[in-house]
Amino acid sequence: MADIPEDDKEQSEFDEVLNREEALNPENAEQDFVADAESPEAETTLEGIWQLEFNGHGAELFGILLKNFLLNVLTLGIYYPWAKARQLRYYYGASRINDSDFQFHGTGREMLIGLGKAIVVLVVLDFAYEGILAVIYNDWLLALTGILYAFIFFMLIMIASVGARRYRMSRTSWRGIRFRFLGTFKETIILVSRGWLLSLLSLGLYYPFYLNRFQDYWTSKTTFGNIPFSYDGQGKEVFSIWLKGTLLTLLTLGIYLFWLKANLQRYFWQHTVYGEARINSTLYGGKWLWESLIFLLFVILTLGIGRAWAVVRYKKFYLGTLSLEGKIDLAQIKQSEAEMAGATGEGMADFFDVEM
Amino acid sequence: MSKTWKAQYFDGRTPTHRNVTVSSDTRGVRIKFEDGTGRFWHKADFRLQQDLQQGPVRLEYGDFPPETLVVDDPEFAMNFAKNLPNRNRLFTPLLALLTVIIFPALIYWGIPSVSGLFARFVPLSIEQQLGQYVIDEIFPNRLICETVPGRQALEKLLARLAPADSDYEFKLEIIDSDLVNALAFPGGKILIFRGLLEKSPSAEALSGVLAHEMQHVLQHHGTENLLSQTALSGLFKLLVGEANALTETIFQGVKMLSLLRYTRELETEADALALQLLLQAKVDSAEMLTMFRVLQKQSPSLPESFSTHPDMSARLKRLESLIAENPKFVSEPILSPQSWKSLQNICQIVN
Repeated sequence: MADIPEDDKEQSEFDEVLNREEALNPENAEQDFVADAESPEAETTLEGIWQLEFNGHGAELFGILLKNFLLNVLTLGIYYPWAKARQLRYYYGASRINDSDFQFHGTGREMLIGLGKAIVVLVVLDFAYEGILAVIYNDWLLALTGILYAFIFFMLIMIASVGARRYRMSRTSWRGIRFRFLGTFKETIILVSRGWLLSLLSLGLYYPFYLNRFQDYWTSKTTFGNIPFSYDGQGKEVFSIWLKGTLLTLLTLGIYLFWLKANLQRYFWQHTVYGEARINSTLYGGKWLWESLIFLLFVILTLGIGRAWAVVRYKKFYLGTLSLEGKIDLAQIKQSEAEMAGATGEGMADFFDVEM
Repeated sequence: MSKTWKAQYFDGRTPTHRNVTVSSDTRGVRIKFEDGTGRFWHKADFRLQQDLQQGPVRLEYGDFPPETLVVDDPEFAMNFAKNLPNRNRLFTPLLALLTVIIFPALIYWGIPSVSGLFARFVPLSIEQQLGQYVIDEIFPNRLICETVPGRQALEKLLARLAPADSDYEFKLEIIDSDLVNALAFPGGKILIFRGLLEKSPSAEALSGVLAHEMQHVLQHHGTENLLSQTALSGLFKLLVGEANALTETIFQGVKMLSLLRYTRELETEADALALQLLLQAKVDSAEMLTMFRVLQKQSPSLPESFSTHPDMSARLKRLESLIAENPKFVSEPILSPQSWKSLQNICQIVN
């Protein structure tokens, strides 16, 4: 029982790293328009390089964080979903590409409902587990229950990851067009379990291939409007990045981990394609580590008060490493008719700390 | 004709936009397309998707997929805000003020009084289970002193002190330990440590402590304390949901101080009520003072703000004045010298 959740956690942390930026700042969706600002209906094909930017301001964000904090205190935390919605609205609205910003359309109300459902599920499960423990005295049955519990826990994390991404994407828009994540729980669970099993059997050698497959699935099931993203990374290339990174991480007593993560992430970005445009990433370990340290130091030295400014700086840095290059025909993109996702996964993700 | 501004209009079905001009009045916004056609969005039908302070004014109209209007010009934002004012401009300062008042009030008065109220409704059987649970948690391997004459003496003390109309069935355990202390637990169990028994100058002195502990039980102080600690931790968890180490430390401090103050109040209450028990039972309450003086010597003195118990000298003073209010009453010895001796020796069987 003790081992499995740990794996779960590592896994979800890893997935999280893979997806965080993608989900948070739906920059993968950057199809851009170039000319629209000037000529209205005529020019719909965009061609060139567009830098992703974050133009938030520390003072503005500080106001939002402060107000959220106060309201959370006053309402004994019930305001939390609204606070979250507000914060996300700010982050998305400040992220832009080709002069158009992203928007987050989720509401506190739907996130409260999602959170409520997640709480009910978790509480019922916990009671069931405690109840079973109270009546079982057989060691074998106990072990079995533990395994079952760990399994359910794993499923919940998967449901949370997929659900949260479905929710986030369906509430994110750029120029009025929504993103979508069309992945399913079933496919994800099969993909992840298979990946772990093979990684385990191959003593870890399969792991980078699994990462590549996962990235492929996660990316190609994401759409902007009616057109999906695609991923053209190769397992063997991820393998060589991973192998080199792992060896150096061991040699440098873990310091190289940042570079390994950056190299993987950069590879994943650079093989993400939308239409005829490709994402370019200049995320490198050294700079990333530096910015992370600045973030941390700034928050600590200002006793947390400067967090808003630190977040703005970090987001400016991170989004600044991403751009989109190529050609997109806006006229080809239509609003997707796919079903809207509920917020239960998002609520569940709050519990597992799978920050999207 | 009112002033117009340039804007972008998205139909919600494609990412392309149309250039339009907009104007706003107190009823809503008017949109004019380049081909000369126009639309009017009534203020009840559109919503502001993004805070006015943050960049362009962004209005959404209709069900999914909504039509969107984006106006970049800050002048429009000002005009828009003037025509369609946001009602809650005073909201934030008011909120901050309320928080500053409500939050400390909640910790200092709200939670204790609510816990006190709730504690009265906790059924006796639950209190007993709770008490036993806490005892077993804190003193799992306690050695209980027991002799027949000692037990008889204890029962005599209890019978004399316990109020007749109480639902509680008090149970006393003498624990073989040098601690000079006694503890009461929810549900009626009281632990007295051998150290206290040995330091007690008389049975009456011990009765003073016992009455104090009995009042903790009768007033549900233990249950109340548990409830308020749980509530405080809950509140605290909510507060530091996304806080850092510093806020956590500060809140821990506030929580601690409030708990300390709170338990001191409970102690003072138990002191005063214990005196009533002694009066009712016709036990010489002056001995309670003697006992407290003994305890005063035992305990290191901390400034009152940092201790769970009121400062002993302050406590003595309060008791003296309370006793002075009831000068005339006839006391009767609570135990025979022999019983008292057998009680004091109750631990000598245990080795």
